Amino acid sequence: MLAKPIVRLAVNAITFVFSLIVNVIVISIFYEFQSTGFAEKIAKDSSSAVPLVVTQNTHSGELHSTVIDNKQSRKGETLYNIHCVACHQVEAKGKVGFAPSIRNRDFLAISSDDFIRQTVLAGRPGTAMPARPDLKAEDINAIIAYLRSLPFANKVEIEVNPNKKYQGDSVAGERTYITYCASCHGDKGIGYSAGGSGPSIGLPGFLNVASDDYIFQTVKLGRVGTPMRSFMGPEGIANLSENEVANVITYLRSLQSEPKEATETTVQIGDPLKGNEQFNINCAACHQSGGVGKVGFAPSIRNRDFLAIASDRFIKQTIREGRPGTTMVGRPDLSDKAVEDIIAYLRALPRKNINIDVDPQKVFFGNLIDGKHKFTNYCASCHGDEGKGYSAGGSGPGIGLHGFLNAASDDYIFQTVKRGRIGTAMKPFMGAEGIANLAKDDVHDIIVYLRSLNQK
Amino acid sequence: MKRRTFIKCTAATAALTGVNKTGWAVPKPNNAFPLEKNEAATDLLAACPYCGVGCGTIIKTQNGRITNIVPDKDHPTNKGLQCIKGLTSAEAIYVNRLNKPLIRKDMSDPLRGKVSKTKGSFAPHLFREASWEEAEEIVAEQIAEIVKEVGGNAVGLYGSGQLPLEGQYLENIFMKGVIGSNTIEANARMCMTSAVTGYFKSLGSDTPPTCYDDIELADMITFWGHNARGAHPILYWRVGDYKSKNNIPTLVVDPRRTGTVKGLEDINASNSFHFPTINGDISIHNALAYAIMEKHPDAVAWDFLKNHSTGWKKYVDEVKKGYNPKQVENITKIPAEEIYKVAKVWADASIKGRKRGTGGVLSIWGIGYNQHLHGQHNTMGLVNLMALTGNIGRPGCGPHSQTGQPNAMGERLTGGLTGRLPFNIGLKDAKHRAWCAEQWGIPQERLDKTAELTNTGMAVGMMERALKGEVKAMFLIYATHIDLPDSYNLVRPALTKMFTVAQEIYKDAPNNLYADVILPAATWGEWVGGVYVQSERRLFVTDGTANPVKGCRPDMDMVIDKGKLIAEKLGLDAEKIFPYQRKENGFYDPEEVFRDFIKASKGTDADLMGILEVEKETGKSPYQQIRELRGIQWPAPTAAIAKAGGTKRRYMAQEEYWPGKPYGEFRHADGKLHIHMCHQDYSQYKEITDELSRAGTEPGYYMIDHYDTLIKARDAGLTPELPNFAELGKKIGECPQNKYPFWWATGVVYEHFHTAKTIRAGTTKKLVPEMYVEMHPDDASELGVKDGQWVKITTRRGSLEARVSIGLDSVVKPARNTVPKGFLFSPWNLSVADSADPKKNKWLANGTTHRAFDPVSGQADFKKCAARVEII
Repeated sequence: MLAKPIVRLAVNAITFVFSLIVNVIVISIFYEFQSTGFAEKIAKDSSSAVPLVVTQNTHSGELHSTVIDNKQSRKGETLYNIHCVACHQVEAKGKVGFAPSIRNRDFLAISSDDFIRQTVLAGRPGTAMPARPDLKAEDINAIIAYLRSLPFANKVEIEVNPNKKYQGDSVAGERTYITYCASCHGDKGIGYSAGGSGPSIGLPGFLNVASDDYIFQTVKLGRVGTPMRSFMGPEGIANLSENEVANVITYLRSLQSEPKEATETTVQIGDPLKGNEQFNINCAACHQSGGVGKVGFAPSIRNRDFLAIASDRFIKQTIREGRPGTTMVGRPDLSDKAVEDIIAYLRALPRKNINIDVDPQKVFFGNLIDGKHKFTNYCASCHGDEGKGYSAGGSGPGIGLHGFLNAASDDYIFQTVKRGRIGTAMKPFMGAEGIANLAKDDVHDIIVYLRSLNQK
Repeated sequence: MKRRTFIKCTAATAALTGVNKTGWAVPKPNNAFPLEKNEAATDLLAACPYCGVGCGTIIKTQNGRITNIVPDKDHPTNKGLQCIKGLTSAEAIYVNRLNKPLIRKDMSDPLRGKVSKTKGSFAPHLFREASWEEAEEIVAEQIAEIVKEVGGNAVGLYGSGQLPLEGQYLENIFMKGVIGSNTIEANARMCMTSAVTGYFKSLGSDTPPTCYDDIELADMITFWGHNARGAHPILYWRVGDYKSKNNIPTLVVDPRRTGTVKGLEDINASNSFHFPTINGDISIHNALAYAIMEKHPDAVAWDFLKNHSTGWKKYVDEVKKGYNPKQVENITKIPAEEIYKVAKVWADASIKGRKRGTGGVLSIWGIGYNQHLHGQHNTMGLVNLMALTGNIGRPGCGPHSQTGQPNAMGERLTGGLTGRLPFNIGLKDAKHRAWCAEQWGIPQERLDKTAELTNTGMAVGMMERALKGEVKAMFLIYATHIDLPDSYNLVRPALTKMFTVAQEIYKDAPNNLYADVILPAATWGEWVGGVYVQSERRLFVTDGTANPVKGCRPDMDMVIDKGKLIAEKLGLDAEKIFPYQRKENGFYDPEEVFRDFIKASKGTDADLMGILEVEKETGKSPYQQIRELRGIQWPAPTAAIAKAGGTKRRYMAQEEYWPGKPYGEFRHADGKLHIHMCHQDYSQYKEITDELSRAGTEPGYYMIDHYDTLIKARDAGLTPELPNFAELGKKIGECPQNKYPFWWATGVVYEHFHTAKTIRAGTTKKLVPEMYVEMHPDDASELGVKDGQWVKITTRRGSLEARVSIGLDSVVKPARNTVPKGFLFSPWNLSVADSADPKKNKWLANGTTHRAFDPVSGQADFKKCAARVEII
């Protein structure tokens, strides 16, 4: 039942985005190479089936060519733009303090395909990087191919020996960590949630996949184009010795084995303070600090009307199952406690409390064809055709996707249309205050149409 | 022991160390100094206290105490990156702080010819503690008496590019308006004034027309006398990253193979050029111009020259006549074919940029390039070449001087220098002078009188005038005297004679050695706040906790208090000039001063009135606007421009038009860029440098009395000294006592900023702890010295001790650069890292340097002295 609409949506999305992206690629290739003066060195291809041969200067000035399966990398770009772009940004260049650059010469040189694959599959628990076991192996491969296809003027090769171990003094390592690493990566490597510019390198998600030498080489060579500079040798922020770096690695490994507090306690009622921490780690990257949302990106979830209308169960289900087809991924990995804490946090946010009664049992009937018409007239300009949401480029979330429709009752939708969400672009659509003064029947028709999308 | 078991053993210890539960690994607050009050402050936004790049910095606090520093990921300059100096800047705040006003028991009294016998020492028993009231009264009495007896110009001030703009602005009012003195200088004089005066001459107004974002638009980037990797690492990393990505060609002109040279070559050696010239910059500009006109005529921007410049015909003629690259090889030290190679790359980039409308050649220079006898000509010569090839007035190209001090740009903008008024206009301009007098609440006749006074020779001249007895008192404010040349023969004897007032933070600061009155100051981060201006004209806040070490006061508060006190004694209307009152927190509000500063900017080329318009419109205070935008680049004359973050780039209509804009395409009255041919001619090298060598060695010889020699040296593009090359190759100890065979240069090392804070911060002190001298391996073997050995470097004026550092494998940190044969280099940042006490201090770099200076910019030449290596 559910598989079909996903496939359909995916296909729709792919064809839609694909046509755009092919143009973008061609344009950006031209732009990139015009501006770098590399046009002559690139064997440009016009048909998508022919492998693209990229000839590039290596750091030693020699010529070096890579054969890239063009078709796969283009598919990868499409998938990237569906699944990854919201955080890792266009062309995977990242955003400091939010998501690391992964279109990055040194990152790609140091990270094996396996490293990236594991990271996608397992995510980085405790951060906004979710596990994506739902992605197919071939899709992940395509995304990797896309990342590897991005051109660099000066490629480097970095050898990582995954079996090499670095052993040092954890206490000294902590001191060094505090002096040189913590100002970006935060206390104990908790990463962005501390407000700094560096990702979480002290959490198991990273430490489980990164070998000692991976960390060592990163510290030694840094990541070009990011705030992560080299910390060894005369070029970097500091000239640390091999011993000092080994100490830091040992310290980080000690964090890996520390028991996590959240799993230990089993308090039933949510703790808003803990919830705040959890929210900052798991939700704030998209929903923004304090849950205020960002138009066209992630909806506000701290607004009066949403919190009045959404039950704890609704929020819990949304967190657990996510909104497939959007960047809101399901988080089955979060403990019940963590979810409860987050809900408690949201409920504790200062706002004017209002009551909106929602009857989850209520079912509305109406005319599907009229509903489609009305949806196109009143809703699609923000929520996109068929309610596809942000991926269609609008300002409204994906209300035609089954994730939302499964969680939201008819009355939930009705009340939302009627009252809007104060402080957001979603205004009331009924009554004199609204964008339009729809009748009850109009809204019923729209709901019936939305339900039909869920059955496709 | 296996790792796992090892971890178990250490877990208990780790739990005990002072790490807070969430957020930041906060080093334990240093509680040694009690603060004014113990209030919790939230995170503060600030520009980094160190170099002129101006990285966005977040100050973290605990119980009102600064604990650590985090780079601001949302600041457009550094985007979450910061160098080790900035990252560890909190370490130097609560260290060995002064907290009581001190008065020297045996003071110098210049009016009665009394010279203190205890100067040169800051031993505590030589001072007595005093209340603020008493100390301020003594200062006010002395200064007022001097002004009344011998006139205001006998009072000097040495200010700072680290003071916030508000303080600088008021110091200038205090000196030029209240005291009536034109003897006001600042460490900006030793840092950037060659660029300042070069810009004035060429473009008609100070400051780079460029912005940092031009880096990522350029087709070629050149560094002139600039080890960006050491001095301005964020810029260097931005350039390196862009080169890694887009493979643009780069050129570094520097006698040493610095980290900058090596780093860029590591990215791509085939398009990274290095000109290891010694003093040949002007000839290189002209030789490149020659080669481009000869081989790549398409790259010459004739239309630009004809329509937007003057003086180009003479320039073209004289370059063609005298600067064939082959012909000037003896000056440039660069083989002609290398010049031609770079000329081609330069021409390609210029054409590319011109065709596209963005990009071209971006030329960046630093302090070393300014510190020449012909520093102003270095700037002008480069601007000439940039103009010839049309690399100005377009995004992605242009001349960009990179400032050393975090707020030297503020010092320049507030006009806190001899003969200047705020907003890039001279004191001689009667109209602007009248406007300023009105804004300042100063009788116009008073300021007119100041305009007639001279301070010949600027910073160096001020000290020479003090030696002669003309300058009798001096304020040292947030600036150290050890950044001035020829400490032993010039600066220290001058300070000994004068009545000297130092506003200081450390108990063992060098200024205290010569101060008669020491006032304990609040420093960066713990003051109330203010504005810093970074090198791309960006005004940014330096918020503070307003919670300094108990007993200390912000420098701005001190100028208001002493200003009011002295103004009264001189019969001026103190409340009109300084209409500020202390607020509830016990301090003055810098934002009030900033608003007055903005009002005074009206109608100038640095007009900031838009900020006040926005405040009227939205209620957001000026500081709040600046915080939210992470800086506003001047000018911001209208609300729309202020809201957009100000003006990114200047000239050729790159700035948005505004009503009353006081200039056309360039700031000169004719709206044009002025090309002035700059020459180098070594034919009288020996005679002129022999004459110059009398300064600092012959008592009674004053540079300010020999301006003609300076001008001759400048016009010929010379150095202050010429080494005795014939003596090179002799074993250590065998060089005759009156011979100096080596080139001797001082500069900076990445790990340290100037001489005060980083040597007191644990991390940076540990990274590079001791004075070193970079030496070529051949010189070392000829001298018979080894890597790591301590030697003495002696010039005609003094000497220092340093460890020999040879090449990149040296045991002496940082081992990042290599020098050409016959060339020695030491960092001046470590000058007092051993001790500031002259009895123990062996590393004072400026004890060795020459006081000769550029006759227009006043900047001394620290780069090309002559020295000998001796056994200790």
